[in-house]
Order: sequence, then structure tokens, then C-alpha cells
Amino acid sequence: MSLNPGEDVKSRLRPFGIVFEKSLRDLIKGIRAHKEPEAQSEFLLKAITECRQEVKSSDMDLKTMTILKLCYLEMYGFDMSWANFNVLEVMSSSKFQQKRVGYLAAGQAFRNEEDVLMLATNLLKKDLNSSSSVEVGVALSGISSVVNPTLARDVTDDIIKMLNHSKPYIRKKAVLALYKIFLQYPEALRTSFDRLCDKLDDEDDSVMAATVTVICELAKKAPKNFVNLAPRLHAILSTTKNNWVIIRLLKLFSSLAKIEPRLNSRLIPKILEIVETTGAMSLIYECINCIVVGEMLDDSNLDVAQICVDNLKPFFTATDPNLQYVGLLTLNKIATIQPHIISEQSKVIIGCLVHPDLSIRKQALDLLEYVVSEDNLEQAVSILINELLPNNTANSSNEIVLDDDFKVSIINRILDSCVFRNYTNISDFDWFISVLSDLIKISAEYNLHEIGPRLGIEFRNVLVKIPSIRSAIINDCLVDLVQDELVVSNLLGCMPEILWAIGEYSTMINDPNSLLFNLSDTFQNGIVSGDDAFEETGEYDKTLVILIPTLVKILNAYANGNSNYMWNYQEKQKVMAQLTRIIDFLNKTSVSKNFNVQERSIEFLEFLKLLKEAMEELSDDSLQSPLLLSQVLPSLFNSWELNPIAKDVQKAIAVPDELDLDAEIYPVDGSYSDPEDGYLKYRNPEYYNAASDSDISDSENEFTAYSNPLLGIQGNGVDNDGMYHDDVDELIMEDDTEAREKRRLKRLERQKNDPFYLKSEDEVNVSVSKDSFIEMDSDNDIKASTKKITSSKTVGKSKTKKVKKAKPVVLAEEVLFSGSGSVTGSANDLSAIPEGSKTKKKTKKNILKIDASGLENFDLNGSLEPEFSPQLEKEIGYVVEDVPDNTITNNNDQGELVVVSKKKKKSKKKSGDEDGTKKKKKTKTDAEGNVIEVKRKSKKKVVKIQ
Amino acid sequence: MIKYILLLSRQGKVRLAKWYIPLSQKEKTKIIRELTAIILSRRAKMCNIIEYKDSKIIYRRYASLFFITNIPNEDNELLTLEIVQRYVEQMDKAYGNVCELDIIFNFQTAYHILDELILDGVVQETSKREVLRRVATQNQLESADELNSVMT
Repeated sequence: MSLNPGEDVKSRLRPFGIVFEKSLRDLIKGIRAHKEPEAQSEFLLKAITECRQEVKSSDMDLKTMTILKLCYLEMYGFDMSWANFNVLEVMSSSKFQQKRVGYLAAGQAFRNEEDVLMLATNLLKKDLNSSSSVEVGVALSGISSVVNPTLARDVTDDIIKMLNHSKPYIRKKAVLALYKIFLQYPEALRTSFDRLCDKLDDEDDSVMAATVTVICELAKKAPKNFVNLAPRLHAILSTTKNNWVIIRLLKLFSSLAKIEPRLNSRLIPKILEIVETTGAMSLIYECINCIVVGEMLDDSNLDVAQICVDNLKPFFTATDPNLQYVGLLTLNKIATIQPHIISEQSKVIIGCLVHPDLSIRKQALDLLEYVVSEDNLEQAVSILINELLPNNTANSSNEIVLDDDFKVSIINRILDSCVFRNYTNISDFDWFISVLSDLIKISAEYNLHEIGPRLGIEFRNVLVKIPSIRSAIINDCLVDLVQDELVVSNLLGCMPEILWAIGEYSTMINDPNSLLFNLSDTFQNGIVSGDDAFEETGEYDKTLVILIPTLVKILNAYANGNSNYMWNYQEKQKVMAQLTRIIDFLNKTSVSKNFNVQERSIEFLEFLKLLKEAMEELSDDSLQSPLLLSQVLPSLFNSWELNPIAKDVQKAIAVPDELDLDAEIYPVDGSYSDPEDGYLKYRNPEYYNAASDSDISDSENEFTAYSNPLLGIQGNGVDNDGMYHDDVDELIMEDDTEAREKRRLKRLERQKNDPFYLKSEDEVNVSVSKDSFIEMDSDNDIKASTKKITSSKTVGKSKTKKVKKAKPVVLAEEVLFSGSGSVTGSANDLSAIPEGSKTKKKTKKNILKIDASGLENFDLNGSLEPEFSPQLEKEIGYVVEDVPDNTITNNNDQGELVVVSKKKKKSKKKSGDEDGTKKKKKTKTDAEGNVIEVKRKSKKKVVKIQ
Repeated sequence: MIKYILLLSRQGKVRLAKWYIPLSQKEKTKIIRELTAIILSRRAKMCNIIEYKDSKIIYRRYASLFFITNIPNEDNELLTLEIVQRYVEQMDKAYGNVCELDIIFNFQTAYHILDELILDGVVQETSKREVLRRVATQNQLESADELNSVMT
């Protein structure tokens, strides 16, 4: 093997005893000879010790060789920064051979090291100005790999001078090195921006290519400074034949187009032309990527999107996994903008769900939601569930083992595609229920804690939204799940929702007796064992909070569920037995450390004790159950059918203007000045979840944050609190019965015409509405707030909708619009929006993201060099503020160095005034009013009203 | 912008490591350890692109060596594969039918070629011939040095 002329010379010199590189060879051979890890590490340590000695030698050849050896050892993970000064010595050698080794070592070892670079500055300057272009080239490469802010400042002028060097080789390197200088020392950009841009017209292609590269990188950070260059860049795009340059240019244009949409009309035809003519896959990919990332797609140019997808087809249908991956990746980006044009590709995408490569599978999984339809949903889901099953990995040895995160994301995607647009794709709900329960069992098996809550929520949603299958779900599925020990212990997160559902529809339970028996038993064990893991996450307490009302609800169902039963002694004994069990259970939970659990337990405990007393007083042969059992207990739960309500609807209810929440309304001395307000004020603190009692909107936030997202309050069982209030009311207001009665009649009168109230029987006080959010505003102030919402009377009776003939009725979520007192839309207005609303949300997000990068303005050192010490960061944190839009050179106010903190930049971003696109989108949103506002936050809960 | 280039042998030994972002030795070791675990377990039918933290790993196997690069998410994956291919081609020409042992014993040449192809993470020369010409010039200069030292 003849490597190069040098090698020949060396080999000829060897007989004369000049064995220049023997020691490096020896080192490498030695390492290779010591195969055993222990022997090897011993050998390596010995080698390092030798190097420490040798590096001090005055013989430059030996020193150089040692440095080279250290470079080799560095690859074995040995730090060589202790030899930095020796490296510097070698770098300053007059022999190119040694200098080259020095620079190589510097590139490997120097990491923004202040002291050594300070010493190196002069040497680097000298080499930069060397007469030998090779040395200049090495110095430029070296500088760009080791540069720090101080060095950058010192060598800027020298490097800028190099931009006009006679040799293109040097000019090219200087341009690229400048980029690193800008990163470290943004101030340099002011002085050299124009000269850099001039290099776009350099006669040498490689210099031009380098300039495009640098501008492309700079434009990622602050695109607006480069918009003016667009015509020149476009000209280059039209003339150059170099694919590398074209790809760079496309990257650059995708940054520019984001802030200057007017470029699109010129760019899109050009890009499509390139797609047509080129044969290079990487270029086609870049073209499509440029269109997508540059946000050139919108509703006006569907045809372009279609062309993109058509041209992507060879990618994701290819056999080369790399092409498949990038194809699906880009498809995913398009899907967020134009979801519907993806659906044609469903076959390929579903096929990729079982691709041997996990990255490809993941991309396909992300696309699933967009491609499933009624026809292929079941197929896709069964493929995925099959992947989840443990036995699948056993029978094919080639199968990849899925990690837990991936399993969770598979489950999430299955659920996403199933519930997509209010179950549009599901034709057979029995199938969906079996999928859900399979998923719960699989998750419990694998111990996938985090997916628990989501599964619970989906179960609950199905129950609430599809009345016809409630009974089947509860008896065939849920009742078993809550008694399944594996599920309870491994997937406790799903329990609150499932328990709530069971409680809410407890009248449908076939065998409440044994369920009640088992439930209190299962969870009792949990409390007694007091598992620390549960205590920490609070999951157990969350479950108990729901379990307590659920138990009482089931008891109610058990005692009153069967309308034509005869009350007799046996019945009484059975009910008594259950009652005693529940009281026992609550006695235990009433001393819980958790406030919510304690509160729940005690409030029901007191009632149940009364009930028990009433039962005991009852003579054994009575044919009538006690009133408390037959009347009062059901009235706590059964008065109001709960309907699905869209998330955040509660926020749309405005706080009435006349409600002064700060006014003191119930002075401590017990005499309240305004009885009406006093009533309200007293009620508010009873809300378990309300942190502050003074601000309704605050407490609403509390609710949504705490309880399940869809049903808001109901899920927490707050619906039961009416009883408590009234007990309290009774107590304080005893002395004032007459006045109270008057108020009550007044209130009833008012509520008569109120659609939000039960056309109440006689006992208004006991049967307080279950719709707690109405309750929030209720009684005294309901008038004001309802006036505002009545124009959109969507609350009240739910609107049921036939989705398909064969399908069961799926209840739509109730939505209600009202923002700051004015009604901005109605349900009918909304129906036009939901289809696209999801997309809108995503684009909006994108824009924000771009904004963030665009905002880095001139702070080019921003995110790229995260490793700086704070001190360094401070030093390079000179941020040029107030740079005029397109002319940076104008502002030479170098004295004014402002250290801008990250935070400030962010806040500046928010006010983002220069971003035209953002503004445009924003007004769009405003036009649609609060509707979007409500929806934006709830991706999953996007409402479908047809 | 390539963040780093690593050459790993099938046994997980580092044959070349070029970092274009400043990292401490500890971080480097960690990255190498993690990537070794990930990449050595990859199978033939899998793609050469791996999502790794907030970036992408593009790797390709040539004989017994894995060429591994890390790029930010927005970079062109296919182009990066092209760069790796280019690098291998040029080493092949420079060494003459390159093999792992060549790179082990003459690792500095591998670095020199890389330095002429990529400067600070970006491709500086798209012409195949130019890169090798530059390396050759430098080598000549080296041997001239050596001759001088022998003569004097």
C-alpha cells in the first residue's frame, strides 16, 4: 500500500534509524494485542503516563508524536485537555507536518478554553496571514473548530480580509469560518454582512455554495434580515446545476417564505419544476419539504399539496426503508396542514404499522388518525393490538421488543383514531368496547400506569355519549374490571372514571348486591395495606373520592332500583347489611389524610347514619321502606340526566357584572347585611375544589384542572353536594325562617322560566340541580348570567344526533358560547368549524414555533452553544437590540451592549409585531370569536356537531 | 449542520470522532455509549435514520465500520447519507481500497480528509476531486518538510 509520497520517504529512511512513527504504531499494536479489557486498560494507563513524560521533551518530533498518540487515546475516552499547552507548542512549529498534527489535536481537544486560546490568538493570526495558502487553510479550519467569543473578536478582521483572497480555496474556508465567528461574536455580522452577501456572486462555485450555506444557517435564526436577498438567491436557484447548492437554497427559502408569504408565487412554480426535472431523491425530498416547512400550503392551493403527495408516493411505497421513513415523515407534516388528502394512502400507511423498523412504525402510527375510516379502522386496530400482545413476540424471533413508551403511544393512537370526530369511524360499538377492555387488560398486564386515566376517560365518554349500550357496557365489562385485582392494582388511574360511570348508571347494574360487596372489599384492602406508591401519586385518594359517592349510588340503586319489589323483612336485612358495610368503610376513610376523601366520607357518613337509625326504628313487619331510603336517597342522585358537555364550556359563562365578589357579605358577627348575597357567599366555600371562594372563574379553573376534562364537574361527584348545603342552610338560617321562605319563593318564581332549572316539584332545596356549573351561578345571580346565555340555548336538553342508520345514537357534546357578556355564536355557527378546527389549531402552533426562532434576532449565539459557562454566556450575550429591519449596518452603536435575558426575548416575541402571518391568523381567530378559544385547548374534545 | 461524526467498529470501538459542538469528555463518552448500544443492535432491514433525543442520527454501515452522524431534525437526512457516502468514497481513493485497519493505523489521514470535506459541520467542498487534491497538496508539503529535515 503506497499511501503518499511521504510514506515512501519515511520507509526509505527507516534503515538509517529515523523511525518517526514507530511509537504510534507501537501504541496501536499494543492496544490491539491486549485483548482482555483489564489488560487493555492497564496498557492504556501506562501509555498515558508515558505520554505525560514524553510530551515534556524538547524534541519536537517526539512531542508531535506524543500529541498524535494522545489524539488516538482520546478516542478511547481519555481526556487530553491537560496537554493543551503542548498542543499549542506543536501548532506553532514551523514544520507543516507538525503544525498539522497540532491543529488536528487542537480541533479534538480545545473546548472554548479561555487561557489556551488567549495564548493561541497571536499564533492563529500569524498563520492566517501566512504566505502559504495551505497554512492559511489549516488555520481557518482550526479557528472554526476552536473559536470562542474573545478569539472571534480578535480574528474577525483577519478573516474578513480573507474573503477577498486570491485563492478560492481560502475564500471558501473564510466564508464558512465566518459563520462560526458570527455565532460567537454577533457584532461581527454588522460589519461584514454586506461583504458576506457579495460572495453570493463569487466567480467560484464553491465559494458561492459556502456563502449560501452560511446565509441559510443564519436565516434559520433571523430570516427577516435576508428577505432582501431573495431575488439574488432566486437567480442562483434558476442558474445553478449543483444539487448541493439547490438543496441549501431550498432550505434557505423555506426560512424566508415563512415570514414573507409573497415569495410563494415565485417559488412554488420553480420548486415544482425542479421536482419534475430532477432524478435525485434527496432533492425531490428537499423540494417537498421546502413547500411544507415554508408554509406554502394552504386552502388555496390544494393542487400543490396533491402534487407533493403524489411525488412522495415513490418514497413511502419504496422498499428502501430510508425513503419510506422520510416519505412518511413528510406526509406527517402535510397531514397537519391538509389532513384529508392523506386518506388515499391509507393502505400503505396501515401496512407500515408492522414495519420492522420502529421509527417507520412510529411515523405510520402518527398518520393513522388521518387515514382511518369506517372501513379500515377495525383492521388497523386489530393489527396494532396484535402487536401489543405478548405472545406475538414469541413466535417470530425477528420481532422487535416494544418498549413501554411505544406501547403507550400505540394505545393512545388507537384511542385517537377510534374517538376521532365523535366516533365517526366506529360502526360497531360492541367492538369498540371490547377493544377498550382489551386495552385495559393489556395495559394492566404491562403495568402501563400512565395510560390508565386516558382509558378510564374513554370508557366514561362512551357511556355518557351512547345511551343505548350503557347497560351492556356496565354489566359485561365495567363490573368485571373494577373487581379485577390486576387492573385495580396496576392500572388504578382508570378507576376514578370507571367508578364514576358505574355510580352514575348504577340503576342499570344487574347485581348491585354482590358488586357492592366486592367493591368495598377490594378497596378496603388497599386502604389497610396503605401502599406507599399509591400514597405518593395520590391516585388512590383520587379513586376513593369517586368511590365513596359511587358506593352510595349503588346502594341507592340496590334499595330503590327495582320499582315493583315489595319491601319486607328480608329486604330490610339485606339493605341493612350493605348499609353497615358502607358505614364501616366510610368510618375508615373518614380519617384519611386526604382532605377530599375525608370530606366525602364524613358527609355521606352522617347521612347514612341517619338512614340506619331510620331503618332500625322501622318495625320488622313494616311494608314501607323509610322515607329517607325511598325518597331522599334517590333524590340526591336521580333528578337530572347528565349530558356530555364540551370542555371549557363553563368558562363561557360570564361572571355577572353586578356580582361584587370582594364585598364582605357575611360578617363574622352573624348579621349579614344583604341576605341574598350572604346565601351565595356561604355556599361557595362548600365547593370542594374551589381554592378561593371569592372568584367564580378561579374556582372554575380549579374544577377543570382537577376533574376529568370532558365532564368537568360531574366527574368529581360534586353533584352530591346539594344535601350538604341545605343542611348548613338549615342551621344558620333557622332564626330567620320567615325571611328565608320569602326569598325562596322569590327565587322559585324566577326560576320558573329559567331553562336551566328543573321545573321543580315542591322540594327545591333538596333536589338541587346536578348541573353544578349552573349551580355555580345559581340562585341569586342566575338571572344575570342566564340572560347572557339564553340566546344560545344549547344547554338543557341534549341534542341527539343520528350519525348513521346502523349506529347507535351518539350524543353530541353540549357547547355554549358567550364571551365577556356577548354571545358570539351558536351551535349552528359552530357546525361549520369543527372539521377544520383541528388543523387550525396546529397551524397556529406552528406559527408560534417559527416566531420563536425568528425572534432570536441577532442573538446568533442563542441555542446553538448550550455548553457555555454562564460567564461566557454573559460575555457573548451582547444582543443587538433595535436592529432596523433590513439594514444592520446602519446601527453601529457598539457602545450600547445589552445583555438580554431569555425571558425578555420571549415576552418580546409575544408582542411580535413584525410577523405578518401571525397577525393574519390572529384576526382570523378573532373573527370566529371564542369558539376557537374554547376549542384550542381541547384537542381531544373537538366537538362534532353535524 | 452536522453535530458530530463517529466511526464505530462492529465491536463498538471508536475509530474516529469529530465533534462540531463543544461537549465535555463525559458527555462524549455518554453519547458514544448510548449510540453504540442503539446502532449495534440495528438490523439490516431497518432504516438508517434514528430519532435520538432532539435530533437525528444518520448512520450507515460499510464493511465492519459504522459511520454515524448527528444532525438537527430539519436537516435533509438523505443528503447526510450522501455526505457519508462521499466521505467513504474519498477515503477509499486516498488509502486505496480502504479497510478498517488503514483507518486505525493512519487515523490522522482520515481526519485530514474529513477536514477538507466538512468544515465545522457543513460540507465545504462539493467537488469530489477537489477534496483529494487538497489533501494531496498538504501531504506533499509534509514530505517536503521531512526531506528538508533529512537534508539539514
